[in-house]
Amino acid sequence: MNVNERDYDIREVEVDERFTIAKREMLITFVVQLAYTFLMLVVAYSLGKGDPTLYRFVMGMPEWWFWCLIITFGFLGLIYYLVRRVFKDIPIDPWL
Amino acid sequence: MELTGARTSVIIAFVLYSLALLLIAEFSRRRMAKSRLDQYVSEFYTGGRGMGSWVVAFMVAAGLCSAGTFLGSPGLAYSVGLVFPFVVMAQSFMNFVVLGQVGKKIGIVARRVDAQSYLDILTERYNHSNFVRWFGALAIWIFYTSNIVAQLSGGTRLIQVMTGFPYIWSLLAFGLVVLVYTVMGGIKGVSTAIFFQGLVMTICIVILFGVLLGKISPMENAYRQIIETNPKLVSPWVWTPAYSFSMFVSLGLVTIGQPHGAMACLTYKDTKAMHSAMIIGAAVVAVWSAMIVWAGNLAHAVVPKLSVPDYVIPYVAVNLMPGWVAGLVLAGVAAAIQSTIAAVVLVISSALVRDMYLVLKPTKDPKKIRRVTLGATAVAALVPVLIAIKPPAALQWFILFAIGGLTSSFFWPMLLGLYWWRANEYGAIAGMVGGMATFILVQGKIIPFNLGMHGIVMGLIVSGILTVAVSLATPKPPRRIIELFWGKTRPVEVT
Repeated sequence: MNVNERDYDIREVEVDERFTIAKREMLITFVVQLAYTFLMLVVAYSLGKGDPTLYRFVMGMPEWWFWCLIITFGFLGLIYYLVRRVFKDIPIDPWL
Repeated sequence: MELTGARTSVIIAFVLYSLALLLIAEFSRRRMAKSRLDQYVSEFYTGGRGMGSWVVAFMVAAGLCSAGTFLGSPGLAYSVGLVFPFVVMAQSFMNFVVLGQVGKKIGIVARRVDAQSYLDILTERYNHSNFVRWFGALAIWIFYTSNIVAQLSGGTRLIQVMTGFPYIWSLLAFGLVVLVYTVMGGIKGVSTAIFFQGLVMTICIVILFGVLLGKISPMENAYRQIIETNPKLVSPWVWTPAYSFSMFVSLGLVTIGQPHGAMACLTYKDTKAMHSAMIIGAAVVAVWSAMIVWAGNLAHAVVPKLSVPDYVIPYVAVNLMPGWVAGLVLAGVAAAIQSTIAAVVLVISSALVRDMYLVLKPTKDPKKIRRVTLGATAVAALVPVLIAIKPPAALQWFILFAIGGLTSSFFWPMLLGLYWWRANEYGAIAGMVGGMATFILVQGKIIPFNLGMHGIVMGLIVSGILTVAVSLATPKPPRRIIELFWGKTRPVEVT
């Protein structure tokens, strides 16, 4: 087998399952950060609509900002759960 | 701006803080002296890949949180309004994002190919392409140096006004301390220092925020007062949703495009440490970015007319708080700036040694490599200090494009390189050049088309399309690379 050849069938390569785990976790990370982004934008821009003099306040903060802080803490909890329960501990030696 | 109050306590705090860093430097020098000569490079740049969770967490967090966190962002929260703390929240989970996206993959691959830097990963993946190597190394050197100069001179001006020391002495004290602990301790010095600096930043932020809340309470009245002065300061609608979205992308989603943040992926000792670093870092940075940047907005209630918004945090500390808080704040600002500079200096140094010097003059002599490593690190740290003595006007241009340019350039080639087998060196080159060029042209307003967003989004779109399209139009990457980055068994070289 010539290791430098560029014409091969990718299915011949046996994939290390640790990389499959890594890819899955990369996708989870993306989805979580994107969900956070959209949730924050939707909440801020809908609750924060209109004239600030008419804003409602929660605990002394403008309502939209208060809920953004709550969402952030909610996601911290979600991240804790994902990293502790869903992400897998794997050996990181170069070759198994 | 009146920032001269509490001078004695400010000077004492600054001196104590700098002395602590010098102690760390000496301590790390002793630890480095014990490492074997043939493992010197690996010990210097990646700490022998044995770093624990707290150090890794703070390397990502404090490395990425820079002068912006203490000066620029609160300044914008003060002048633009609450929309700015809102978009800064995007960076809350940077540890989770960086380590989650690429941590495990880089951890294993780096051990396979003996990668000591971010660029090592890219050049190994892209078939040792000289273009990827040189373009990456030069972009890192030029853009990062400009970025450090900006941070150094910003920090120094603050030290100058707060302590009354002349600019040049403040600069030398501030910059040379970083030089000492980076050269003496390599990543061990930098990471120990970053851990200490992270603690200083945390204490500073929590105390400052607490005292400020006490001053302005009840908060609702403070906000009513701010709304009365200028209602825009409290509404997210100052920016369009599209623009805020692009800031969320730039500050959160694409952080792995910044080599000094992703560097920590090379250093953690096992996935347990990496997982803990993700959680610790997410909690710490969420608290940092919420409190300190929000404080800039809240300060409007007590100091409504500031001439230099960037100094809102030090101004509040000096004029409204007990003297020792002012000292602590200066230490916090210094910590935020120096931790970023040190991380960046290591990235520049590894680019100079591994991607420039050793390519031009290959050598295996460990003594020589050690000398070159120390020399390059000193150069990497000294050049910005020298430029900062009198920053040239043209530098503004580089500073403006530094972080966005690197991110637009590196994000897709790194991400696709790690997770899409078909990406090859041609695609990477097209993506790196195209992404950077597009970002500069859009952000510099030479191309008037930006989708109503920050230029980084256009840069990323072009870079992503180019990387994929050009890769598909050119041959597959060599089989050896697929085995290294995906395979189960070590590829056997045919001789």
